[in-house]
Amino acid sequence: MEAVLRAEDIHVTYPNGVRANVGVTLEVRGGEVLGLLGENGAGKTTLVKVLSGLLRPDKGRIIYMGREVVFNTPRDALRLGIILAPQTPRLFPGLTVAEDVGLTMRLAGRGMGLQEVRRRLREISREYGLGVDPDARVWRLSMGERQRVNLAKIIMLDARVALLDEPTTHLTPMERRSLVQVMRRMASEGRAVVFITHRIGEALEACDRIAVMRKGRLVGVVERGEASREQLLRMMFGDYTPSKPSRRSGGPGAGRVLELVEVWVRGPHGTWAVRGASMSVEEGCVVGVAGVAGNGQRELFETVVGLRRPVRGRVLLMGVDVTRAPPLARRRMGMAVIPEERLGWGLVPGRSIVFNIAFAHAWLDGGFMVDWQSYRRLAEEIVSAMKVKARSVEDPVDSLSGGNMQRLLLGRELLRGARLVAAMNPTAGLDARTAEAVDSMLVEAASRGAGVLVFSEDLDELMTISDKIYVMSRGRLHGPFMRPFDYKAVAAAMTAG
Amino acid sequence: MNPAAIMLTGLSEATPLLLAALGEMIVERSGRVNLGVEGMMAVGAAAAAYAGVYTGSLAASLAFGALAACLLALVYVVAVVILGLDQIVVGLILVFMGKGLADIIGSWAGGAPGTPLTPIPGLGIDLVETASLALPPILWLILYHSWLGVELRAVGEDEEEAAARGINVRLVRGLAVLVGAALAGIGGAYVADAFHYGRWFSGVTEGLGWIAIADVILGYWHPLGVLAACYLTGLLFAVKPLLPVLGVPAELVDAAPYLAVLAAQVVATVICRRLGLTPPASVWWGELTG
Amino acid sequence: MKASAALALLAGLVGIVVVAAMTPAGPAGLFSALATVYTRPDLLATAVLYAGPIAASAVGLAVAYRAGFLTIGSEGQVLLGALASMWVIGYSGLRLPPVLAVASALLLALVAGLLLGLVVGVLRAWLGVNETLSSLMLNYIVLAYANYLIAGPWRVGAFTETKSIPPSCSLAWPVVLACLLAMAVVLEVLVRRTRLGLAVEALGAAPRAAETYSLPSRRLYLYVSALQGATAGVGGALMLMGFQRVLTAMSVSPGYGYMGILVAWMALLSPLASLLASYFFSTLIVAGYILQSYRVPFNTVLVIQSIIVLAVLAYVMIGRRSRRP
Repeated sequence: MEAVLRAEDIHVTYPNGVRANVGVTLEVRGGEVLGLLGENGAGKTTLVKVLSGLLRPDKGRIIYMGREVVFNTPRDALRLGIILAPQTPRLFPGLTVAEDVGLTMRLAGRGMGLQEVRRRLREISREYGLGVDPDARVWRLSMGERQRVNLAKIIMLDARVALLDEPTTHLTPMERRSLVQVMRRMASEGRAVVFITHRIGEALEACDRIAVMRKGRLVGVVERGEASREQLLRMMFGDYTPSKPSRRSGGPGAGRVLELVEVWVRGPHGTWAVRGASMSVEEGCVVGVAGVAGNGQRELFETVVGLRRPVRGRVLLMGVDVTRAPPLARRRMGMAVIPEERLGWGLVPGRSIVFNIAFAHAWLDGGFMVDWQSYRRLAEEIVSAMKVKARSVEDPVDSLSGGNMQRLLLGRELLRGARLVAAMNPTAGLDARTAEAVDSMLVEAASRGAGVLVFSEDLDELMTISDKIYVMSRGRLHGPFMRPFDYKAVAAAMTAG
Repeated sequence: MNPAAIMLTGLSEATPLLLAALGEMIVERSGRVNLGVEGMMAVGAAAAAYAGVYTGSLAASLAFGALAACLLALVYVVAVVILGLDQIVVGLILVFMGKGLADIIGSWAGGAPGTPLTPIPGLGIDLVETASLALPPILWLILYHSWLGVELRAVGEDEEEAAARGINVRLVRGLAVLVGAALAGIGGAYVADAFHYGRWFSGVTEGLGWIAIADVILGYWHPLGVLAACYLTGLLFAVKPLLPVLGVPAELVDAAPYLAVLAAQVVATVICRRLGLTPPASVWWGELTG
Repeated sequence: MKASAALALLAGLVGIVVVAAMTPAGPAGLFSALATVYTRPDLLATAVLYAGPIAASAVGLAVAYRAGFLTIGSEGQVLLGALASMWVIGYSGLRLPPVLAVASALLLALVAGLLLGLVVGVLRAWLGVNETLSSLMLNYIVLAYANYLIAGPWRVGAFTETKSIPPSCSLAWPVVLACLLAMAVVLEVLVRRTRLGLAVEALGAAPRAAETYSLPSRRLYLYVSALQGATAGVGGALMLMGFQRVLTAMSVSPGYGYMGILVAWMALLSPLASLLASYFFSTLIVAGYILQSYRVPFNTVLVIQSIIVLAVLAYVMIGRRSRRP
């Protein structure tokens, strides 16, 4: 098979000094599914951004069908049939599917009427079994459905090269399997499909060749038949092998830290996001909530934290009814919060590390004046205890890397002795080492007696650290599933209605 | 006054509001708020009066009103769309700038009568009123049934993604601001030409720009909704002269439209919250919980 | 980038010259008027008086804007404060000795402004009503109410105007300055050193984080709106007793509260810096009065002030951006 697209000696260094791509040379062939494997932060996304014209490399060449090309905008790549589907499908929430797809078609220089777009979408949806409704408003779609809209778009644009960045992140196990089928089918039509993933199993299942990246460099490319799990693991991590944090024995204690009783919560568009959820978190226990994004986890998390009021149902903290209590009252009872977005929700952007420690304590500590000295000391303690890499506690938090932000956040929330820890996707976007550290800190908090509630899309992670798991699907909670977990049963619950 | 006359007066009073509000709706659909409507209307009125006095042409009067407002809006385009300054602050600055510039330009006209805009004989409404009534359906067609409208809404919903897909966000937004300004300017010109015989005086458009902004929200960012909201507020202005008959002091009557709009705004906000509605242009209400 | 930041200031200067050229006085007239103000001690003292309502509005607005509470209600609050003072001095029937009259006028103005500010705060905190628009509507409602009082119950004589406050109740410039300094210092300390100030900063920069991590957002909006209204209300008292003395029917409100908004942003939301910026603006006002004799519309001052604020904001913005890696 011949090379459709070739990246030659690509170098990318980000303004903050991170060398995301160091001399990467990679060939993408027509009619194959090429796996791009590596842990978070290995440079996979950077590479496909370069290939799709979203990012100009500092150095290096892109060869398309034997000719060197320069992409000034994504549009240039789009016109050649090179299309990137980002990790989290980003569609315009207020548009219909057909309008959204039509917009891309127009910008790709293949403008057509709305009726034509709808007709073609229906055709493709039927042919590939994508189940896409052209007239649906985007905000009504689940992440999986949005992912399928993106696939439809790629097919409709007749892509020569489809770059799929971690397309399985927001998919249920069932949806993952059908995605693999769609990818294989696309390859069989002569297209080149680049499948980015950090999961070795998926790569082995779907790909003809697997390219492995580590720390911005291409470590090697292995053919389907020759690749073994151990070899790929070594290539991904080098001599470092991630060990999952071990669960101490013990498990659920007596006292219930958190209890939800038949909670109904509305989402942003007035529809029900959480439908009658009941659950409990016990002392010394890690409780996982699995499920694909967009099934009501965010709303449920906000209800637990106190940012959203349930329309019906009760929330009990340490046995006390806090359904109508604001976060302030819940924090007084010992609630720690690790939200999904570090900057803007967990931390205040543009402010110093000290400020970010102080603002979360000030109202609880009381007093009229702020004792900046003591907060500075506290900040220094947290920074050194959590091994946060920062020059000074007076530096703005924005200057920290994602991993260091999460360490700082965890330090602030856990070091004061929490009784309930509510965390949402706490390891998302972190490299394996930091993710492991974060997970073990959460487990440690539980072994000190806290109840830990973790929402995550990563089922493997939850199965490692949790004592019990609930599965969230279309606003309902299924379970609990107890240790030892039955993977198939949990996975099946994710697709339940 | 009989009810039919009040309805007709209401339509006339609604016209400047409708023009300005539809313009602002376009801007907000592109993902920005321009609080400077009040200033753009003021400048529009002053420039229209000046042009009317010196050219004697109604068309020139309206065109100058639009042009002057566009020139003022260029400040917003440069500061907000290009440089990225805070849209609220710059919008407010535009208000003050516009009011001041209106006083300067208006003083050139010297308070002389310019080019009055009179109803078309037999129809009871004038040319601009007729045109402004045709505008909401046209805008509806553009917004929901043309790719230009889809692009505009896309920019308003998620500018980063729009840029990633190759839409020139600054261009779309800059044009939206200028079109919005032109409409506000014509709205201001209409006030001078239709209500005051083309004569200008300081504060002639006072408060209208703000009500127009409120009408955009009350009309829920939809051309036909904005039409309804503006007509209802126009009616309020039309019945104002009747209130003193009921024993309300004449000076307090001036507060009536503002009180009504404030009340409507409160009710609309509460209803939106209850229903959990997120505005189509997510520029006013951030994702605040409560 | 240093050059393009300086370009913003240069553009501002060009803008001012162009605007001045549009008036009968011309740029030369404008600058000579300013030179006159800055060389005559009596005019410099007068400028302190005019700075009163502007600075009083600005110091409170600076705090409110820090909290992300974008009210523009200072205009109505200044007017209501002036009405409250006028009532105490002229219409309450209390025959207070001057010092007591002035003190109670200040106090009642403060309370009036505070309550009006609180209306906006309550609407925002409990019902989520956008504060920019609601406060604006209130400005016009207060204006109508003021006109009603002036033309109706409070009217004296042939013209639509109120009584004039007695000279014993006029404030000299040092008194105004002392009032302003006191407010600015208190608020500056509040912003930098107190728990409330810390909370206000967090609320403005990241409302979601503030609420999640135990800051009582609703209560904070109430505090901030009350505080902002109170200072603007005091501004109304300073306006009345500093230079206004008599209230007459008006088609548009006096505008000092609106200038406070410009000042707060120009001072980059620092209460103390607002004091200086207000004084600068106030010298422009005095220059504007001089220029009125050349038939220059008074609101030309407003245009020049707007241009200055815009240029300063652009300068700061470009400077900040170029410092980023």
